[in-house]
Parts: sequence; structure tokens; C-alpha cells
Amino acid sequence: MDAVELGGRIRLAHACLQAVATACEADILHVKGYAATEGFYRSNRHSTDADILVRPGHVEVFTHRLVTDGWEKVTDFSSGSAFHHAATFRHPWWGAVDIHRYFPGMDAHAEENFERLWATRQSLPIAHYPCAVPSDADQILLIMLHAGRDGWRGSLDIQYLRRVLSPRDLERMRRRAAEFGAEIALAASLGELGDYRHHPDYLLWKYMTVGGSRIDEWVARYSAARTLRAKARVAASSLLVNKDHLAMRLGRRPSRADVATEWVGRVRQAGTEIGQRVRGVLKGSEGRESP
Amino acid sequence: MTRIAGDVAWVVTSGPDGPQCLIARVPDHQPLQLSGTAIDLWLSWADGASLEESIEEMSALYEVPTADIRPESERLFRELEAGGYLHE
Repeated sequence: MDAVELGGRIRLAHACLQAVATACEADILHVKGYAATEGFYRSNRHSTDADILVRPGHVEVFTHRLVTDGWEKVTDFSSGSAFHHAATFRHPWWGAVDIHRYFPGMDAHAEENFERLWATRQSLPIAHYPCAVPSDADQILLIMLHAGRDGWRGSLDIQYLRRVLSPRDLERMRRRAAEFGAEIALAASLGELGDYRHHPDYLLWKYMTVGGSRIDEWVARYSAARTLRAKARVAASSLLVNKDHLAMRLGRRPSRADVATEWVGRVRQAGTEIGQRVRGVLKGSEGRESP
Repeated sequence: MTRIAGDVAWVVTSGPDGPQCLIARVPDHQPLQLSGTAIDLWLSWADGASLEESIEEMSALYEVPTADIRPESERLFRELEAGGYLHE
């Protein structure tokens, strides 16, 4: 399948995932990329994988079925991104897919938010196979929410949507985002994150939109954690080695020695970054004190 | 009247040697790849044409006698039918 045009393979992957979901009675929604209604992206935009959102309560049965059907888990939910929202699976025929257990920005009430999307879903043929996708309005909202953490490509997606949506449409998107509790995620995409400076998720969305160091990421995740227990988990996990990513980098399953080496490297890196910050702060205070 | 089976997904896409059509019985059958005039036949069947109608369509499209294209068209149709991809 290597020579096959990627877009074709991704479309077939969507169809395959729908068939798997139907077989194990899991509710899934195909989101973004080639699952979007035509016209929601600029014409020369390409995607690299298939994305689906699974009803949180059905994630276990669905992912178990994927593995039974020959899919290999590449990254786990806990190691996929700062949001811990998606796991990546790969199949020799269908390529890579991202399985979302919730959508970043809509994560506060994942089950309710999935139901909200599910209630207005529609069927769209992908590779001539009927697939469940969100309503047109929700598709646009999801594209907008994702754009904030998709770098340059995301900013082009937003530019395009701002051109084709009327002010009234945009207002409708803001209202719909509020129903999902996704106002800050939408603000991040629209360049209005400053309005949410005191929101617990502010640093997390700032990190996702403008990037930063590993320390920035952990500080952001720590700030976004709502409970003391969640904060403690973030702090403890900050120096854990992400074995999935290490395996991808090494091109093989990491040994204990590989993990130990990586762990020592992370502690050193964290120490270096903190050291740079301390020196930066001291320099700054020296500067302020200078006549 | 030809009907594509309910578990079949398919796409026409650009391959290294021109257009190709990938058809798959999802989720657990390896995709098949059609190329050249086989794609035209598949599109005709996907549009509901019977085997006979598709042969006539191809004959008109490529300006060749039906007798010349019938054996290969029939062979492809029967193979896809046996594989569960389509039925009359």
C-alpha cells in the first residue's frame, strides 16, 4: 500500500474504523481531515491520518477490537500529547489513525459533550461507505478548536474559515463552543487567548499555541489540573519516561537500560532548563537594580 | 442492475502509474487494486449498470467491438462477484 496515494488510504481507514465500530457496537464520530464536509477546508489542504472520536464509555471495547483486528497500538492515551486525549494505532493496510477519547477543549465533561455531538450527527459517505460525522456546524467548531494547536497549518485553516464564515456564523460558533465549555480553546484558535489570562487552562493553551520548553509544558499541565490529586499526578509524571515516544525514536522496543538512560537525561534537561530560568531571573533583577 | 456489496469501501485515487481504484471489504479484507479500463468497468457497475450494459458502455467509450472486450469484462465481473464485492 506504500505507493497508494495517502488521501485514498486515509479514506479507506475511516471506512474500516466505521465497520469495526459497527461490529462491536461502539459509537464513533469521524472528525477533521477527509471526514469533513467538502468546502470546510481550503482545497489544497492535506491530512496525514484518520481521526475519530469515540464515546468515552466505548473506548475500551473499541480499542480492544482494533487490536483483535490486527491494529498495533503506537502510542497510548497517556503518552500521545499534553492533553492525553488520543492514542495512535497503525495497520499495515490502512495506515495510522488517531483514536480520541475526548476532544481537547471539550474535555471537562467528555461523556456529555460526546452525547451533545452524537445527538446531531449525520451520515457522510467516506470512500463510498456511510460514516457517522458531526453536524456541519459542529464539524466547523471542531476544525476551529483543533486549529489552535496545529501550528502553521491550523492558522491557515482559521484564516480560511474566517473568510468563508459570516460574522453571524462566527457568533453561532462562539455560542456552540460555550455549550461545550470550549470557550478558551476557541479563543486560542481565534487569537483571543489573552481574554482568558486567569483561566486555569490558560498556560496549557498558551503552550499549545505558541510552544515552549518541557518545563513550560509541565507548568501548564500542573496549572490546568483541577484537584490536588491531579496536580500530584502531573508532578510525579513529569520525569517519567514516555516509552511509546522513546520506542518511536529508537525504532525498537526500549530496554530497561534505554529507559534508565532517558530518565537520567530528562532529569539533567529539567535541571538545565530550571538553571537557565534562574539565571534569567537573576539577570533580570540585576538589570532592574542597575542604575 | 449491479449493486456494490454493503461492506465495500472504495476510492479512485492517483497512483504512481496513473489512476487506480482501491476496493476493500471492510474491515478485514485486504484491498484490491484496479487500474486502466477495469476502473471504468467498476465505475459503471457502481453506477448500477448490468454486466451487459457496462460492456456496451465500454464499447462505445473506447470504440471497440463488444466481442473484443466481453471475455475480460465478464471475467472481472465474475471474480468480483465471487469475492463478494458486487452482485447482480
